[in-house]
Amino acid sequence: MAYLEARDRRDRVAEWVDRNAGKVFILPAVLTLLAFSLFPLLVSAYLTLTKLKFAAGGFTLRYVEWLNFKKLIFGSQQYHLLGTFDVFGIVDWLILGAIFALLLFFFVRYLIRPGTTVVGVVGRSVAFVVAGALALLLVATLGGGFPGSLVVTLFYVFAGVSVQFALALGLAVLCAQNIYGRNLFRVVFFLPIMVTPVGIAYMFRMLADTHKGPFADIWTWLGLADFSWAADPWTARIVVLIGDTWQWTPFMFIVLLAAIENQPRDQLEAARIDGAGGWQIFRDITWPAIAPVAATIVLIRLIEAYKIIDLPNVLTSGGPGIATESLTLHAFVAWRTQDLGGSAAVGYMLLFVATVTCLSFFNFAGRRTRRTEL
Amino acid sequence: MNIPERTLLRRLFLPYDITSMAPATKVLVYTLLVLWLLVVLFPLYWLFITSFKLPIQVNDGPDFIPFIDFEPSMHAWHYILFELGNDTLRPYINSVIVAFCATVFCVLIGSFAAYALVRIQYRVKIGNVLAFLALLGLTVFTVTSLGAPLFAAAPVAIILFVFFVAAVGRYFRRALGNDDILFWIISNRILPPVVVVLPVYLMFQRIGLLDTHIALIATYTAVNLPIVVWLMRDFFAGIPLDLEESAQIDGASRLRIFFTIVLPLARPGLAATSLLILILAWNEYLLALFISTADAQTMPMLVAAQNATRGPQWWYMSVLIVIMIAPIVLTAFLLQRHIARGLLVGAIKG
Amino acid sequence: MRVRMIDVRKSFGQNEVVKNLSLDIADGEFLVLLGESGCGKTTALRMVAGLETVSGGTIEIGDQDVTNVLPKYRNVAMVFQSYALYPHMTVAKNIGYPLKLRGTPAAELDAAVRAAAEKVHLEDLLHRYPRQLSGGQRQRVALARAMVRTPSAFLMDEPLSNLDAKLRIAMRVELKRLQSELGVTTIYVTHDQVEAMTLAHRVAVMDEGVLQQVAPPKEIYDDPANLFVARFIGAPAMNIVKGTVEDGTFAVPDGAVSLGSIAARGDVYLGFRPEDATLAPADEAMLRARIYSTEMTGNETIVTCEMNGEQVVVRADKDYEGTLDAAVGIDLDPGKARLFDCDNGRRIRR
Ligand SMILES: Nc1ncnc2c1ncn2[C@@H]1O[C@H](COP(=O)(O)OP(=O)(O)O)[C@@H](O)[C@H]1O
Ligand SMILES: [Mg+2]
Repeated sequence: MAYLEARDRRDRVAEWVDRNAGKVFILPAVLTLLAFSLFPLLVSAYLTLTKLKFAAGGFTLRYVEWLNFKKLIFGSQQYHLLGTFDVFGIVDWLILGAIFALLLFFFVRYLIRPGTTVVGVVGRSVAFVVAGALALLLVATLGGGFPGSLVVTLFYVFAGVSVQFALALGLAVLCAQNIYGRNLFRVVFFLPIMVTPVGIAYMFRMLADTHKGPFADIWTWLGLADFSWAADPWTARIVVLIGDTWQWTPFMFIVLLAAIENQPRDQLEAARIDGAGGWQIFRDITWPAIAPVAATIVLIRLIEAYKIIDLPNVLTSGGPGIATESLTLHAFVAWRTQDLGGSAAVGYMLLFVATVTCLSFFNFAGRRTRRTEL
Repeated sequence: MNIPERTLLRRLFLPYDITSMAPATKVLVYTLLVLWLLVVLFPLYWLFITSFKLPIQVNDGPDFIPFIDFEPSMHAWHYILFELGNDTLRPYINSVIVAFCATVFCVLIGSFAAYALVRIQYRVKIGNVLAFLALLGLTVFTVTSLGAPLFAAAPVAIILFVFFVAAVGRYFRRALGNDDILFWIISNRILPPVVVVLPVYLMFQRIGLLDTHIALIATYTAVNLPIVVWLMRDFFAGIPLDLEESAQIDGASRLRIFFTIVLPLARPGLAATSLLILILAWNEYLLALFISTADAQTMPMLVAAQNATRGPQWWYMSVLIVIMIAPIVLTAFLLQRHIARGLLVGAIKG
Repeated sequence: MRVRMIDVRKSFGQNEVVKNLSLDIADGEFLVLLGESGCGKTTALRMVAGLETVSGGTIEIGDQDVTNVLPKYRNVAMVFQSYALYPHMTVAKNIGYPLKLRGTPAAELDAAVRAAAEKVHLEDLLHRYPRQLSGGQRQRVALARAMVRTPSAFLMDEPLSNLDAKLRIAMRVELKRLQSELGVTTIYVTHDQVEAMTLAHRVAVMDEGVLQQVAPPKEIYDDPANLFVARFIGAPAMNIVKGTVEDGTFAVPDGAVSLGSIAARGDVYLGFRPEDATLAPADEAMLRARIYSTEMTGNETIVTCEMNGEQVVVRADKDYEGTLDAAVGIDLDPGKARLFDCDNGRRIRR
């Protein structure tokens, strides 16, 4: 009897689970995300408005309103986040004017075309204002000033993702040819993604060492043996970028290769019969076929690229000065100096820029590539 | 018809027939591929041989080929594995535990959600969501600035929410569907970890779990969850509904169907996703930097710490990095075929 | 243009798929390659297109040797079984693509696209995408894309097999008319003998990579070159009865057919079509059999008889009523009966 009762109870549990399957299945994920994403996000939002200090046995909080943001954008930390500004010359104004005109043109074009929606207008306004502000920042700091962590992060993200995408696409096209050793190539090309980024940082420090690295003789021959790439802002940034590219090209490569190999063979053959050569086939058939995949992985890489910290932290410790500091590293540095409000504020700036960029890209690329399915 | 004559130049640039490449193209293709092969392999090769070098061999300039340029030595390996012993082993074991558990939890929870989003229709009332957010904000505010204890505020908020849903919930019309939930889950990945890590740090500090495996596992599970949901969803969507319905008619419960029919059928996807999450969890750096300080220190922390404690002692560093790469490479080679397919499905449908 | 295949062979590894195929297709001719699935028809067609290299032999288009010429220089047009429409291009773009690649000026291109679209009644759908079209419309886009330029030959690989029965018949009629209007040499691959008989100027029957017979449809039907062709063509198929030839008569245990002057030989097969035989009372007829089943199709009755363990089919009047297992006699027109060698299946001419 006890056995039957136990079975009965088990049945009832099973039935309850079945009836509430919807909740049972999704609740773990939702609760995890609430606890580790949404809740921290709100707390973090609150932290950006406070000054937080550790005290014996806990911490104290003081509400400081927008002070943290003010400090970052206009105040003592401006050099760190935004950079040091240059006095605008005529060229700067011209570039800026051209960019603003272009943005305005696209905005107006959207307004006067049919199919304008409220969401579209609001979204584009935000995207264009952010783009304009970033353009202003870039012109102000890259000409003669000194870029802060925001500009450096943008450099990592946009230069990195472009270079990686170009390389990955090239390699995928090459690898999709009828060649010997395809499998060897694709296995080896995939390797870097498995190496820990911290390890990559050290590896590239070794390789770039002008005295003990493998290219020491070349450096000497070039007369650059005593040149220190880590002491020059741009070479340091580029070494970080090289490490990042080495690591992340494989990810894009492997997905693009799969996409290229996945396209319908008969379309390629039809194009050949119609008289298309190699380049025309790529431009007219292959590229449109893989564009949605390409857009998706670029989006993924955009999202992940904004989080870069390991490489600059280990490779250059953010130096020289703050030249290679990314926003995440900036936030970490702020945290280490007990400036928790400042750290949270930097994090929020990062979140804002990343969200606007990714959503803009998503809407922009999404519309263009979504009509390829048969 | 206009067939070009096969002059010498054309022979160089035109393929002989449809299955072959033009000689010039061929040379170019192989050159570029081999070039990138070197770009990928040389750093790894250098890392590998450096781990067998003596300090003096590293310091007096580059030596390339073991046995010819230099005599390989095991001293760095011996030092890291035996002399340091536990100092290396402990982070290694931490890393194994954390990465493995996080992968399992993450894939499991994520698959649950992904499957549910494919097969079950959800309708979440917008009003309820807003109420929830408002209460959450209120709780955060009262706890952080008014000093109310969390263990008191949270239950109050939950009770208020339940009352609210029961009383007012049914009057709401507008609701969010599966796509909205999916978008919300996936968009969590945009969140830079540095934004959430401070509260998470404070949270774990409060409940005394800072620097423990549990803290790391929970955090890694959460940050990687969106990837699992996003990738697995398309695998589940590809499973014919008939199979599940016939199992349902045979009397299997939802959970049973999920574990005995759905998961086995999605095995390639599971393999690819698990590998990806494993790599991400194994190599994770930023969150570990905040959450693990000593006892739960993971390998990336140990490697990163080398700089500060020992300066550029390349030989030791190389050993550490090599032993860190090895297990992942091994796992990946076993699952290599799956990962491209897995990523592709997600990317195409995503 | 004239298309010639001379001793063309194709092997995939050890597997020889096309064996010594020789065909001479005149300018403007409609040739149908007919055979069972897997017999190498598609492979033969793809070799003409240049999509497949040949393992041996020569292919000529318009007296030019194109054996190793790339597809784009052969100027053939091909309609694929799957249509192979470019999914991201509109109907107009799809049709115009071959011309665009040849640098045709825009105005001329538009006119040509419109003309081609009108031929297949697509002029109202030019701005749609392939996914917005029905199967039959897609098929017509594929046709229009082939017809937009003046190719040296049309190559069609089962172009109608993905359509439903009614549409298939309608398109067959269209296709035949278009081909004779355009007068372009056409090689058409199908496994459907009705399509072959109705469309072709000449039918080439293939079996396991070997060409069996090339002849106009009527000749294929009336004068099959061997047992394979005899059995393959016609529905219901030709009756084949094994017997011996002595003294100018073909003899089986249950009767004899006098064939006039013919040399005595051992075992042979006698073949006759169901419509060339008539049912008669058992004791007066040439052959004696028993009724196995009768099927009334509307305009006739197909009577299957059993004779000595073999089945023989006779077409009878629609009012014919036979009882099962009743004895029945079969008379046939000796002039229309065909004899085949028992050993190699070849036709024995009288
Ligand atoms: N690329 C290939 N590799 C190996 N075998 C092939 C290939 N293409 C076709 N075959 C084989 O050649 C035979 C003939 O194929 P096919 O020409 O497509 O037949 P059909 O079109 O008459 O149905 C089949 O047995 C098929 O398996
Ligand atoms: Mg075929």
